[in-house]
Amino acid sequence: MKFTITRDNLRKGLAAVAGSVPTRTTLPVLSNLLLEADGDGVRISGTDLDTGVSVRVPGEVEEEGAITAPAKKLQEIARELPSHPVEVSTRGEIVSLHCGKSRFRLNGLPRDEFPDFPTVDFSQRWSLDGGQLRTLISRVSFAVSTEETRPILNGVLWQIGDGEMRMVATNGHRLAKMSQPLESANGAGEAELIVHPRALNQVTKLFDEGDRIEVARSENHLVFRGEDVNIFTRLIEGPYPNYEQVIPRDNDKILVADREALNAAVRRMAIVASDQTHRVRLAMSGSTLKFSVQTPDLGEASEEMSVDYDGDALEIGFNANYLLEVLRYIPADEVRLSFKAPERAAILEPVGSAAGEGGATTAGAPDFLCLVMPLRLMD
Amino acid sequence: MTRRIRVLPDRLANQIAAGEVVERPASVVKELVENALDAGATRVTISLRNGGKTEIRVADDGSGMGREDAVLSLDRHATSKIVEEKDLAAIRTLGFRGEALPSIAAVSRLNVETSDGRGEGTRLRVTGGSLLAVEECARRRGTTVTVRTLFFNVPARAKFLRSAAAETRAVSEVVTVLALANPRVGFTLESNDRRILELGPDSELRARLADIWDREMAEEYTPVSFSRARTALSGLIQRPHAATPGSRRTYLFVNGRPFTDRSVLRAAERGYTTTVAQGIRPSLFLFLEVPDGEVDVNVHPAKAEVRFRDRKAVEAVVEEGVRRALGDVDSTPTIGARAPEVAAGAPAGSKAPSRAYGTGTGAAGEAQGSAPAGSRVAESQMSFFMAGAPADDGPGGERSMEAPLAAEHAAPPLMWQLHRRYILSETRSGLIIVDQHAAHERILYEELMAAFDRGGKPGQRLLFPLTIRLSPAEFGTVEELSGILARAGFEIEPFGGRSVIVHAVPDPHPYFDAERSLREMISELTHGSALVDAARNQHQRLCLSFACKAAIKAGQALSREEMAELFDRLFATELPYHDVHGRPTVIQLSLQELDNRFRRSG
Ligand SMILES: Nc1ncnc2c1ncn2[C@@H]1O[C@H](COP(=O)(O)OP(=O)(O)OP(=O)(O)O)[C@@H](O)[C@H]1O
Ligand SMILES: [Mg+2]
Repeated sequence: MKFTITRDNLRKGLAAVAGSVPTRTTLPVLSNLLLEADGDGVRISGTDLDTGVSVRVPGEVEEEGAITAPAKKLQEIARELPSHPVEVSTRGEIVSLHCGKSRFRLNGLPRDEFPDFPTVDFSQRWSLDGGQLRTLISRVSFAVSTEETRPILNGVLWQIGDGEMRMVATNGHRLAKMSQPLESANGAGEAELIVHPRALNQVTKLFDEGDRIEVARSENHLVFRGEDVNIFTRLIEGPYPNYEQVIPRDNDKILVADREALNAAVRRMAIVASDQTHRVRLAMSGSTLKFSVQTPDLGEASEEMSVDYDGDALEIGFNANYLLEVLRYIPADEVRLSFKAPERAAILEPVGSAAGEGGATTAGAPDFLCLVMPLRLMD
Repeated sequence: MTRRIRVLPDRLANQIAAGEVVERPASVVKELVENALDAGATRVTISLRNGGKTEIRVADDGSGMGREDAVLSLDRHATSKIVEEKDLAAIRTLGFRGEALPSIAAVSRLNVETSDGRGEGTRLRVTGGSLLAVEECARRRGTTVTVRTLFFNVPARAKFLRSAAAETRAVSEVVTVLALANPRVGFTLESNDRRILELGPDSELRARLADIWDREMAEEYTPVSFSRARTALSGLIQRPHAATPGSRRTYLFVNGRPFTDRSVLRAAERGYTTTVAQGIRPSLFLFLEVPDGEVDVNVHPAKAEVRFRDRKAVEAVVEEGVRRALGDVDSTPTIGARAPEVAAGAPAGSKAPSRAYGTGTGAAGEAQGSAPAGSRVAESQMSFFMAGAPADDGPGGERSMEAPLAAEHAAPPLMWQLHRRYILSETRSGLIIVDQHAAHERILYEELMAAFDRGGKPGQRLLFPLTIRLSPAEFGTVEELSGILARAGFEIEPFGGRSVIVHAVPDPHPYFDAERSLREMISELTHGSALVDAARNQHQRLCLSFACKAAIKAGQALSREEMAELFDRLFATELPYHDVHGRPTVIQLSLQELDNRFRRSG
């Protein structure tokens, strides 16, 4: 194998796959990248077996071939190289890099030791807008569970339907859900996929607003395909819990407030909240929302703010961290909270769309919803 | 009518009194050594022949006696130590009855040589209580009492004496007790000219332990130092991890006087609650100082027991003192050499044990100065981790929060997670290794116990309630404990048959598996375990089980912020150095030990 590539293209390619190389692995070849030279370019791939990224960068190929080489060293070398073309060649399992007056020889591993990427049939595929996908991912994936015994909740549910796609994530204590419109009859029909957020992060990193992304699946895998980039990921096996059923339909106590003001107030309360439960208490009546926290051994705090509130007086407790998280991801300047009772789920939704937010529905507010389950108040 | 009641002649009365005071060579030695200590001796030498059956000799360098006093000392109720009734309440000497010498004299051949350092010394010879001779003799200041052929005139008693070896052992135990109470006094014990104990003068408690047993044994102990309302406790107690189920050593002293008392021992054991496994009995060397009048020492014929005026208060001081000692960093195990001691292990008056760690990263920079509860204030010294920071920084009980707030805090001190199991951090005197699971157990245990005191802890309601099927016995447990479970955050409801539905659970950390933890807890609470069976009530039982099942597991990767929070919460607990199973949460490795190992003097 032998090819010449600009330093910047080499850097770009290596940076794209960097995140897919596992930091710790029992399989040595996984800390390597696969370099494949053919036609008019070079494909660079990395994987941890669960997800993988491969990217194609232009290069002048003198002799086609493939080899794997240590990812970290390649990146470090590329970072330090002068701005000259880089000639990469192999002899046996040795990879040589030649740039200006610098030469490097690295020990590689043969190509066949590198795992094959899963083959996915792209004749059935969805064609999606990069911006839409990025919006869904960035607004929803924060809500996945970190507890590892229920892998389903470690993933994001991605529903692709007729005219709409939707992502949902929850850890059982709070939930985020968002939808985006789809041109109807889009490609491969309807599907329910559970995707690990690591793969989705790669998608937001490697695809841009205007990009067209083709997505196809096999039994166990999902592949995102762009012009130069491929991302594959192993699907998490479902079924996903029936989240529709837990979204309350009868929350009739409605509060509308400025998101930033709410956020600031909760942050202040959180300072004095217990570091075990992080509990803040919200009391609503008339047009006031009163926050309070009492933490034995520490002290207390309270704050009042005037809000738009429609409903009977209500007191409800929450883990401040959950409120803050959700408030951070709500894509609007105003937020609408609705409640039923102190032990029932609260709904938080955007009112109108935030400045600069893409993918809003025609009605104005994006189709975004968060549920937060309360902390029981004991006293 | 003839008169039948008669007053006994002195000799006979002394013989009868001897029955109470003098039982065997060990009791003779006890009385004679006590007299020597009362006389202010700095060195006491005890020599035995044939286990003391043939001869006991106790020599001291104390005040000695003049001739008149020496003769008088053999009379019953002759004492220099108290004059009137009120003196008894303020007694600080070991003797006060004036019975020992006449009692011993009545049942042996006694020889006393004594000198008060003025003029000639005096020698008395007594046989079976009759004073045979009073002579002059040459002697330095001090007293030597020789007791030969004990019980020569009471054959019934002589028969009960055991083998020479057994009697020697008993003597050696007596000497040990008095030597522990008086580390500044030198002791020598010889048996048939063989030296079996040699304790140099001017020692302190830990060194004395090392001299009596060995250095390694002495290193197993951590100092106690606590006082409340003029009752002071000091001494050394065994570190929990060093305690074993086997035999143990317990030595109690009040105002320098040895005593036995089961309920004081039990109070000390209560201080160990949750730091040792069930059935483990740690060794104790405890010294109480109480004001005059608070202890009655005249309640037991051999003075083995005492009576406290306010026994509850004394037990409370003992329990609390032990507990505080176990809250100190010195109660942790070390790898090799300990860092130079902060609070020296000396009885009495040493400064309060220092609390050590706590990162204070909570909101470092902003220095919230949030004053946590009384006990917490003195406890978390944020300076601990800053290498080279001054040792006596003020209280800095600051707090941290989980994400998302934590992300914005100033950088926490350096911590490394080892194999997703241990957390390693630099400290001022070396480094500590924290077992993340054990540490979190301690945190959850104390936090839930504290929450129970205030009525309970809120449960996080679940979007997807859990349904759990239980065995009949387990179902019974849940029904019985549903009130406590609810106060711990578990809202559980019967769901037909033997199933229950769980609507709310505690949320102790982001990796908490509520379903598995709850199942394991119910099973443990139903079937019992060494851990929960040690509990004193249902609340404690639940807290122990919850702590064990809900704590962060070994194998869980933790972020810097999470590690910092774990430290802060650990060092806000009362006993941060011990988990709830009797295992340590923290092991220290001192710089000194590293220097030793790398052969770096320095
Ligand atoms: N080794 C000694 N050095 C100096 N004085 C001594 C010594 N042994 C005894 N005496 C004197 O003899 C007195 C009588 O001693 P004895 O042991 O019989 O009574 P006690 O110590 O006063 O009371 P108790 O019977 O409670 O021991 C003591 O009060 C003390 O004054
Ligand atoms: Mg005496």
